[in-house]
Amino acid sequence: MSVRPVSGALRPYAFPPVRRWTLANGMGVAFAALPGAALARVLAVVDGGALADPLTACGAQAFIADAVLEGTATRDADAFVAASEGIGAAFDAGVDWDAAYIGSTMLREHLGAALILLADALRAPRFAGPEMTRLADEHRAARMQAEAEPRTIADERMQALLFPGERAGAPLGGTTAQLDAVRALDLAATHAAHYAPARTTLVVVGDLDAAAVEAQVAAAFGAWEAPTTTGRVPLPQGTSTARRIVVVDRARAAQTELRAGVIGVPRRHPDYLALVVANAILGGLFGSRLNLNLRERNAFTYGARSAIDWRRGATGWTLSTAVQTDVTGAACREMLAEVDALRAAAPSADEVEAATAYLAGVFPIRYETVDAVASALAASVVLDLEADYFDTYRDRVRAIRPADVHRVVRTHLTAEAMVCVAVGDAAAIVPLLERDARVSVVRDA
Amino acid sequence: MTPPLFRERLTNGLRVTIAPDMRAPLVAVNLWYHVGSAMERAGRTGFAHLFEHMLFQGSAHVDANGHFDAIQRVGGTLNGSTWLERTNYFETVPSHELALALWLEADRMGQLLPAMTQAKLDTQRDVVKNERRWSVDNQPYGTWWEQLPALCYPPTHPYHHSLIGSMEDLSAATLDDVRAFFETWYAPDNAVLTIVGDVDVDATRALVAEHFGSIRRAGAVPARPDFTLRDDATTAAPRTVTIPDRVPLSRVLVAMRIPPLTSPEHAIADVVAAALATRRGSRLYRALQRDAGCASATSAFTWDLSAGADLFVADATAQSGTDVDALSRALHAELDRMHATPLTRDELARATTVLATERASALATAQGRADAISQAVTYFDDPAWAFTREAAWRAVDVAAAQAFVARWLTPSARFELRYVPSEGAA
Repeated sequence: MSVRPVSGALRPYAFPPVRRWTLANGMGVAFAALPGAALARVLAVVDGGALADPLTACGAQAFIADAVLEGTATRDADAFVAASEGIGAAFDAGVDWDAAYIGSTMLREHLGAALILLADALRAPRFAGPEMTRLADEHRAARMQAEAEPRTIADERMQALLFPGERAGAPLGGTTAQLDAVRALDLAATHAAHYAPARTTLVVVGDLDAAAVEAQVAAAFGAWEAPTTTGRVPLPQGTSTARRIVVVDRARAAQTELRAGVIGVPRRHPDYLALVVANAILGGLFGSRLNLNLRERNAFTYGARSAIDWRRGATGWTLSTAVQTDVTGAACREMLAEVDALRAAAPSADEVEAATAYLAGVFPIRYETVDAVASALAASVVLDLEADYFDTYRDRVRAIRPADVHRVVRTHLTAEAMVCVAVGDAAAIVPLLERDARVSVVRDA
Repeated sequence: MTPPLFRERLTNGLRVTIAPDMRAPLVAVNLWYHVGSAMERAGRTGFAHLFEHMLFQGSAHVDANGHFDAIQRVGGTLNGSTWLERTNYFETVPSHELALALWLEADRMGQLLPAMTQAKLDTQRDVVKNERRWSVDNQPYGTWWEQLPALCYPPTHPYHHSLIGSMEDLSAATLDDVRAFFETWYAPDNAVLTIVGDVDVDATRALVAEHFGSIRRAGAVPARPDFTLRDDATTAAPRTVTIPDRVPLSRVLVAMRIPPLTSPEHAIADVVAAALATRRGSRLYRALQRDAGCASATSAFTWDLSAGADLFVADATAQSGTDVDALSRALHAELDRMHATPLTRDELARATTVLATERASALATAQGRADAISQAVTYFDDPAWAFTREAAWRAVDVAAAQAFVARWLTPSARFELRYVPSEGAA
C-alpha cells in the first residue's frame, strides 16, 4: 500500500465520572469507577508536601510520608507488612512540593482490607523503634546515590538557581546534611500538624460499586478525628536573574548533562493550556524542535526535551539534554537558539495542530489504568482544578492557536533570564561554552 | 483470566493475534521480531539495537521520523526496544486509527531499504553512542547489564556480548550490514503481530491481510545461533569481578544460570525470586535491610531469556559504612539459608500473591497485554500462555521450590559482580 489509509470514524470517549463527598470528620473522598479493571487504587492525598518543611530540616515531609508505613499503635512494622502483602497490596508513599501521597494498589476484592490498613497508617503511626533508624539510613543512602548521579546533580542545581534561599531550591527529599535535623524533629507533632481528615482527600478508583465504596470508606475512616491546626504554606516565588551558565565539574565525565530553565507560572495561571502546547512544540514531543535539532539533525544526544513541572506555586520550565563532551558548547548554543526562535515568530498552524491533536488524542490512552486515573484525581484536588476540567480538556486544547502560543512564549519564556547548568568535565567544556554558546560561564563553588 | 483471543497465520508466516477489548476507544499494535543482540555477528555488537533506531528513519512511503510524527499527530504513543533475543515495536492509538498503525508497520517490514541512507546511519550511530554514554558510561553502576552476562556466559556464547555495543563496533557498522540484517531477520515469518483493543475481529483481519499479506517471507527460516552452554568454558575463568566505579555505595550482584523462560521450571524461579527479595516481607529485605542494616536496597529477578540458560540475579546495595566483603557475605548467607532453611508455604504464598498483583499491573494496559501476548506467541506459539502465569505460580509448592534451589542456586553456580567506589569517587 503506497498511500496512507484514511482514518475510521472517531469513537466516543468520556473521562470516568467522578463522585465526590465529604465525611463528617471533614475528609474528602473522590471516587471514579473504571469498569473491567482487575486492580483498584486508593490514594490518600494529604496537604503536607515538601514546601511545608522547615528550611533547616528539608526532607521532613518526605521522611514522615515514608514513616507512616513503619508501624502503627496497634500493628508493628512487621504486622503491617504481613497484613498488606498477605492481600498483595503494595503500599507506596511519597511527597511532591504540594502534598503527601500514601497509596496502595491491589486486586479489587481486597479494597476493604487495604482501606483499613491505610486509615491505620494515616491516623496512628508509631514513629518509634529501630524502623526510624533504618528509614533514616535508607534516606541517607538514597541521597548519596542521588548526589552521585549526573542527571540528578544537574536537575537539583537548576532548582537551586531558580529558587535561591527558598525551600523549593533544595532537593525534594532533603539533603544528607539535614537528615539529622529531620531526625531531631518531633515527628508525631509534625505529623499531627498536617495529617488531619480535613486536610486529606481519599481517592478511590476501580471496578467498584459506589455504594460499597462509600460504606467501606466510612468504616475505615469515619472514626478518624484530629484537629486542623495548620493553614496552607506560602508558595515559592523564584528569583529571576541574568542569563548565565553554571558549570559543575565532573572530571573525565563521559558526557555533559545540560539544563536551561526559567521560572514558570503556577498551575492555575490562565495561560496554562497555551503553555502546555508551547512546551510540546519546544521539547515535549519526539518531533519537538529541541529533539529534532539536537538528536535527529545534529546527533549530539540520545534525546532532548523540555518540561514544566506544574505545581500550586511558581515552578521551573526546564530544557534538558545530555551530550557528548566535545559538542557541549554547540549543544548549549542550539538549545538557546531554539528558545530564541520560538520567541521570534509564532509557530505555524501545522506545528500547533500537531501538538494539540496529540494532546487531545492521547487523552484516553493516558487514563487507561486505575493508577493513572487516581493520579489525575489527586492532581485535581491538589491543584484545585475546575470540576469539569477532564471533561472539557480536549475541546479546550484543540482551541489553542499559534497566536496564543506565541503570546505565552513571549511572556513566560524569558530568554534573557534563562539560566543554564552543565555537569561535565569542566576543563574541557568551559572553553567550549565560552566559545560556542556565548553565555557568561560561572564555575560552581 | 484469559480474554478472547483470535489467532491466524498468514500464508507468508506472520502470526497474528487479535484480542478485542471495548473498554476504551484505543488499540495497541505490537510487533515482535525474533531477533536481538544474540544474533549479531562478531565485530558488530550493538547492531540489533542500532538497527531498531533505523526503523524509525522512514521506509518506502514514510519520511524520516514520519512514523513518530504520524502516530503522535493522531494522539498515539509509540516506541521500540531491543533485548537479547527479540526486538519489539509498538504503538497505542485511538482505535479509529488502527489502519494507520498497521500501514506504518507494514511499510517498514516490507520496504525499509529504499529509505536507508549513509547519512541516516551516521546520525543514528552517533545518537546510539550518546545513548550508551547516557545509560551506561555516565551512569553510576551503568555497566552492570553488560558486565553481568559477560561474566556468566562464555565468550563464544550469544548472550556474552554487550547489547548496547562497543563504540568500536558501532563505528564499524555499514549500510551493507543494515541490508543484510533486514533481509535475514525482518520478515513476516520471523515476526509476531498482536492487536489488542477496541476492534472488530473480522474488519481487523481484513486490514492485516491488506497491509501485511503481500510481504514476502524470508528466503529461509533464519538459522539461530547455538545457545547450548558448554559449561566448562567458564569454570576456569574468575567467577568474581570487581569494578571500581563512580559510586557512593558498593553493590554486589550474584547471578546463577537457570533453565530458560521456555522451561516449566521457570515459574519456580519467579516465585523463589519474589520470596527472596520482592517487597518488605522478603528474606533479603528482612535480613539485610531490617535486621543487619548492612544494605540500603535489595532485589532478585530473572532476565527471562528463552534459550540455553536464563540468569537468576540477587543483588544488594551497601548501607553507608558497610564494606563490600561484608555485604557479599550477607548476600551469600541468605542464598545459603534457602538451602538450609527451605522457603515455607507461607513465604511462597506471600510471593505468589505479590506476583499476582504485579502481573495484573503489567496487564492493565492494552499495550501491556499486547506485549505479553507477542512474547507468548514468539516463545511458546501460544497467546494464552500470557494469562497462565498466576496459575503456574500458585502450583509451586515447597518441594518444587526446594528442588529448584538445590539444583540451580548452589554456591558453586554463583557468579559475582561487585561495584566499589573508585579512588576519590563521588
